[in-house]
Amino acid sequence: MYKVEARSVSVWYGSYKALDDVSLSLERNQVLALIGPSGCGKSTFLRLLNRMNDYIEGFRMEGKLLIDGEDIYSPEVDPVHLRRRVGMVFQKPTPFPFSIYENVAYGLRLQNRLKESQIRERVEQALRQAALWDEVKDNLKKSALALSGGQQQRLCIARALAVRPSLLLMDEPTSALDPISTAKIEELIHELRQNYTIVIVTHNMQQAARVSDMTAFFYMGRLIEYGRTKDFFTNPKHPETLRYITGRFG
Amino acid sequence: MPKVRKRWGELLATLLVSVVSWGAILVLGGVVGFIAYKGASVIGWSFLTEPMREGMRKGGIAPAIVGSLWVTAVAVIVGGFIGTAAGAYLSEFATNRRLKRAIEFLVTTLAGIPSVVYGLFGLALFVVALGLGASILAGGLTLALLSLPLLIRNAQEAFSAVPASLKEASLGLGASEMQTFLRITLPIALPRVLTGLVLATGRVLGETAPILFTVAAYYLPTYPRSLFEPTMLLPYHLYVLITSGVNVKETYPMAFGTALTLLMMSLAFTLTAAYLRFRLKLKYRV
Repeated sequence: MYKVEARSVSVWYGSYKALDDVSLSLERNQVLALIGPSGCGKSTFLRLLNRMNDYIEGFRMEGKLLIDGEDIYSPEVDPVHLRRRVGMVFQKPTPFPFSIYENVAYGLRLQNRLKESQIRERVEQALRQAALWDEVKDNLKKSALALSGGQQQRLCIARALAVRPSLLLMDEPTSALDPISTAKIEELIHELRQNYTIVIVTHNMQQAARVSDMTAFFYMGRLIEYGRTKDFFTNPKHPETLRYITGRFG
Repeated sequence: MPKVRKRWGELLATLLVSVVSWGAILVLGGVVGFIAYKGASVIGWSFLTEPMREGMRKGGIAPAIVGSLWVTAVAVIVGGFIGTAAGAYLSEFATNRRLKRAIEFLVTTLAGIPSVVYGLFGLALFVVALGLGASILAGGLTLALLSLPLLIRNAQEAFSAVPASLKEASLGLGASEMQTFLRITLPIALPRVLTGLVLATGRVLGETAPILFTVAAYYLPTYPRSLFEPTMLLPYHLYVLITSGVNVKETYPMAFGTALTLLMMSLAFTLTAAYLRFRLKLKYRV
């Protein structure tokens, strides 16, 4: 069974067709990079996976999207429950104006069934996984807004991991960060792959080549090329892919 | 030399703007100073804490202060709840765009209705139809209605100002829309909501027309014991002292004392709002 499987997925916003007949499948514990020029549909595809597009007016979808073999757009699926299995990290760091501890505990408190000692354990575990624990362990009560941009983004990753999703979505997670912070997040993605399946949108071709196992190239709402990252960058099959990854458009 | 001429023009413009703004400040200062000058000699501990005596010619204005605070409290509590809820609905929960536009249009229209019309409406609905009689409750509800457009708009803006990225982050962690509102949007917007409430308090305190037919008593030098009684209020008492007292010449100075009291109370609320906003803005950076 695939972790993620899209079968002829098309998406409209009103009369605008944002995705056109996209099909792909992704194995467990792999990293998938979505690349393509702005407006190509890669973010739309990412946001389909945790049903964040539901809130956009005029959103309509056709086709089937399966996670762990389950159709996530079937009427029986509660998007709130889905999002506990599918974590998301956004482009800009979005810490809540609470303490570091409360930020990571946020998703856990929503579920109302953990004791405070368990929450403390999960917070530490998540912060360790996000490689932030050593930097903040003495300041857990400090406001998350006082952290640097790179630390804030790792905090957001920890916050997503604390809920224990099995699939992690990242929407250009390093585009607002400096090179050193970017390197740390990329290293983190490498480690997280042991336990998670990750889908990452990126504008940075080198990043896609560095962190991903699979790469999907979107252009004007269509999936142009999909394959192993190795082959993708060394031997692209489509002329459009070649033109994009060599920087001739986009 | 064109350069020099341009500088002269700028200088002139700067001068004009300064003169106009200083003029405005002077006028404002003049009004406050005049009231303070005329009122200060009347105001004292006994004036603020004692009831009126001998047909308002002697004694203080304490019952009017207490009555005003009661009516204002009813208005702000009722208006605050409804206004905040309506603002939250418009900003966060309304999915039907047409309905939302219609409500917004209605709110804007309500804001333009003269306050005396609210008074008449309050008389017809609360005093007569609902049988509350002229009472603190009827007056407070009328003032709540009057302040609703302001409170709804303020709450709506406060909730909309909370960054969408934070709301999305919360939803992305598996929070429902209501959980997101209660745990993220409301706490972050609260400083602004409260600021609006306190500002509205200052305004409601000074409203005269809506209380005329719904609660205000001409002469009732006792303290209200329940929400179902009429009471004296500062704005109406001020009007009575100037125009229709037993002996207007004698009560005229006391009107300035009453005006100064009202002014100071309003000012206190406005300053509280400014302080609240400043403090809480530092905390949440929004």
